[in-house]
Amino acid sequence: MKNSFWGYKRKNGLVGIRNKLLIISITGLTGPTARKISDYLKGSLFVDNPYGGGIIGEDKKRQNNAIIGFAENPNVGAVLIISADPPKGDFIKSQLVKSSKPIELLTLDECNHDAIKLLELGLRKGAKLIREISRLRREKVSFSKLSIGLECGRSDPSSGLVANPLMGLIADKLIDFGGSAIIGETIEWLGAEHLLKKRAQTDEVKKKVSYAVDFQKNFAKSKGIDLLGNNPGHQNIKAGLSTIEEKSLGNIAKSGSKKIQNVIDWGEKPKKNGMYLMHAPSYAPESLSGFSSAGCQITLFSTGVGNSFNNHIAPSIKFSANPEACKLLSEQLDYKCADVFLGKKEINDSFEELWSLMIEICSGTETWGEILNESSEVFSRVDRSL
Amino acid sequence: MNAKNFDAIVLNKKDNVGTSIKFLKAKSNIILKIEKKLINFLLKDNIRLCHKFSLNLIKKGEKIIKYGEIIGEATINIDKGKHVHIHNIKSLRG
Repeated sequence: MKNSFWGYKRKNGLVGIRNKLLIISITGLTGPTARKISDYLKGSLFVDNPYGGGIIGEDKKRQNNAIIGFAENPNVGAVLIISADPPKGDFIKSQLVKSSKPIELLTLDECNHDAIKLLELGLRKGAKLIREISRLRREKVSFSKLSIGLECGRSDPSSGLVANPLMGLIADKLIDFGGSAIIGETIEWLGAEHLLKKRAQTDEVKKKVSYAVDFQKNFAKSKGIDLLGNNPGHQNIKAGLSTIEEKSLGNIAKSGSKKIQNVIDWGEKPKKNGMYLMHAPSYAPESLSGFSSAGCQITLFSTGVGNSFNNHIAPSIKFSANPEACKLLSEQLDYKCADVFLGKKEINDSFEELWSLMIEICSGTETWGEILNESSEVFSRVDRSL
Repeated sequence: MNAKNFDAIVLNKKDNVGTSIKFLKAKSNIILKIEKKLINFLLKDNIRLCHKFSLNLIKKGEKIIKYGEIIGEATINIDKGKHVHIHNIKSLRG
């Protein structure tokens, strides 16, 4: 199988599958203007952190790490940081120096808090950055440079039977080539954690799996939540999933068969190659943003009955094995594998097709999610604001 | 490539439930794929796409097995060929 694609080599040795200007508003006050700047600048990616001064403690650390993670993602060629005040902007900019990509900072302070002035300066700076990064050309690169986020959403039993095992095959192959892969959605390890623990690289990793699952389970319990109706959600139940154990067993099929290297936190980068578990929320936007801020360049996203959401920085290859979804969602599903579910095609043939599609998309072909702009990034929170 | 068509699948021979791959009518004779083998099976209920049904009588309190793993337990006796879902099984973890 082909083990290379056409990507953008970055100065720090990482490889992007896209080469975008990221316009990131890091304070809530600057969000609306920053969005307008991005609307004007074709092909730029916009990320909005709607919070600011009231964020303290763990949330402050998480949000700063995520901002830095999004900006460091190898798909981002240059960054325009928009901040209300200089100290926060200066801090973020200083953290990005080692990524050695062009970074510009603009603050509302230097515009006397005039949004129109900010818009004008932002457009000029952003336009110049796009021109600068557009000089870069794709080169042949190895899959060892690729990190992939594995997601499932609005799942049904076809996800667990076909689409997720297919992702597991892709993850195994990518790891054979020296790449890395991440699955998140901790609550969907519940009932399948014994299988993940068997694959843990060390006893410490085994303990981390138990800790993460118990944490999410106790969190639900402490809030008086019955998982039935929440996870599996009503759509999962309608589609045929009856219990969290059933959903989890289907979910972890995404992780393939390799050793679990470590359990990492939301947005944290894997230290080496191999398979990682991200201790993180399940809902797709928050889960996917954990992957893109952890440096994944691409996300594979299986769905049962359809899910129009995609990641913004790491394009999502959306696919399904549900025969009805495959008929209905022609401009949502990048790949259809209902034939495997119906027994008309072997899973290995489907795996080769999906691998080829992944090479194509990593080399520049756009996903439906990119073409339709059905994507965004969100920030995960654990606490309240001051 | 499979020469014959089938209507439902059983992933692991330890399983006591099957999963439909199309809408299946109550009281119909279906073809069930268990690992690589195909067998005839009589359904009692309508089974929607991707829903589960019992392969044998499952008594109240007995574990429900899919993928060769426990996915919950029966809350009532479930006759062979009946729809298996939240009305007659529950999670042991959630």
